[in-house]
Amino acid sequence: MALIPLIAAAAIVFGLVLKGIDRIVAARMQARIGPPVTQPFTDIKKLLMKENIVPRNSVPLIFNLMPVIALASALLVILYLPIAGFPPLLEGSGDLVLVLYILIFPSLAMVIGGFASGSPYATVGAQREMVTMMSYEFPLAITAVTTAWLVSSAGHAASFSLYTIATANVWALVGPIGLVGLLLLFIALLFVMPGELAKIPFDSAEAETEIAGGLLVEYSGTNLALFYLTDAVKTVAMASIITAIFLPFSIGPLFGFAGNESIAAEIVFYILKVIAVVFVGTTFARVAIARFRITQIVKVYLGHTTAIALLGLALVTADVLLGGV
Amino acid sequence: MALIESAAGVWDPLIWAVAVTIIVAFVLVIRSFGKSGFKNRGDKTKPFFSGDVVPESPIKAGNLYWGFFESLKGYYAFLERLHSGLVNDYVYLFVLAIVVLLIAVFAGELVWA
Repeated sequence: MALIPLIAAAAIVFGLVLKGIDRIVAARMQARIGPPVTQPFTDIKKLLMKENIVPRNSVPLIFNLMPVIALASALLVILYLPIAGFPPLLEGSGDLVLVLYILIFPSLAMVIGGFASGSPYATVGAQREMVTMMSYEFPLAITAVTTAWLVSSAGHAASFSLYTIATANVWALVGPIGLVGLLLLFIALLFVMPGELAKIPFDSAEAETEIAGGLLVEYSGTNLALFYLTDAVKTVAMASIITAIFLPFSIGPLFGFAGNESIAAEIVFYILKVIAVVFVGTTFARVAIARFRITQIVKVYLGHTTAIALLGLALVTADVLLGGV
Repeated sequence: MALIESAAGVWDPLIWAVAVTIIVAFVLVIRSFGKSGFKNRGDKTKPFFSGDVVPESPIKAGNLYWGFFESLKGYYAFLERLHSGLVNDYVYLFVLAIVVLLIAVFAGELVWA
């Protein structure tokens, strides 16, 4: 338990660095120089110095409480995730189902905070965020349950534990048909990532050019800084979940590392994997695709992404039933 | 000690509660670094609406799931057609649902056997 503040601080720092890298890479893809990698730290420092304005139409208690709940729940998720191949800090006291539940809280806190703002823009943004959440939860659940079921079918106990899923390496449990199925589930989860993080093309809840920031329009100063940190930590959490399920590979045995060398190599490899996932899942997507309307978001998630995830589920099931042929 | 276990999942609410307490305390420490309060002058606390007059109640609770209903209106139109108000139709749908469910259960049993 004494490690919790340390892990929380590390998650915040790593999340802010990821945001910095994301902004530089996005800028370079648009032929701009972009800000330095430390820009998110400067943003936080600036926001903490600004006035924490509470709008006159708002419900002050809820308006101020939601940023705290959002960041706390995002940090809580990190404690249940295996990082760099090591067991989660709270291993054995919560599994993938709990992680998926806690992952809803930051978005839900933003929705409640938006409704409590008393602003038309924030209300529209909160409504859109709610609809987006309802849409991406189904493909996310299909992916999670399929991988856990696959691990369970291979004879592993505690199959919903993310650490068990990571150590089992789902790619090693299937034949050719299952490989295609897992690839489809991987793609479905990568589609869910920008929605979960409210990034373009799934950021209609914030949509600066349309509804002036949506559910965050009335937030400023410290409260906005907490939401900014929530976004950073959620990026680490989502990328770590995808890494644990679909990229659980180790680099130590490949190069014959042992002891501290192996630990350092695994941490560096984990960071590289997370950066790669963030690039594919958010940076590339937000630079390459324009913003979807809310009705298009529902169709993409409940139509296309769910179809991809269900096809993946069917192929993995067929593979297990046919004995990995 | 307080572990809740199902066939596949686990959750320890006691450890969860302790972790939540520590994390919330940590977040409140971060929050304390920020400036609290503000000087209430002018229109600073007026909701931003691009300079226009803020409407009284622009979005109602009934509009909450607008995006959802709008994009799935074909599906909801189909559901509305099913709700004819005739008991005969409802019993027919109930029997149909039971048949589909039984086929799914027995087909599953056969496959697993």
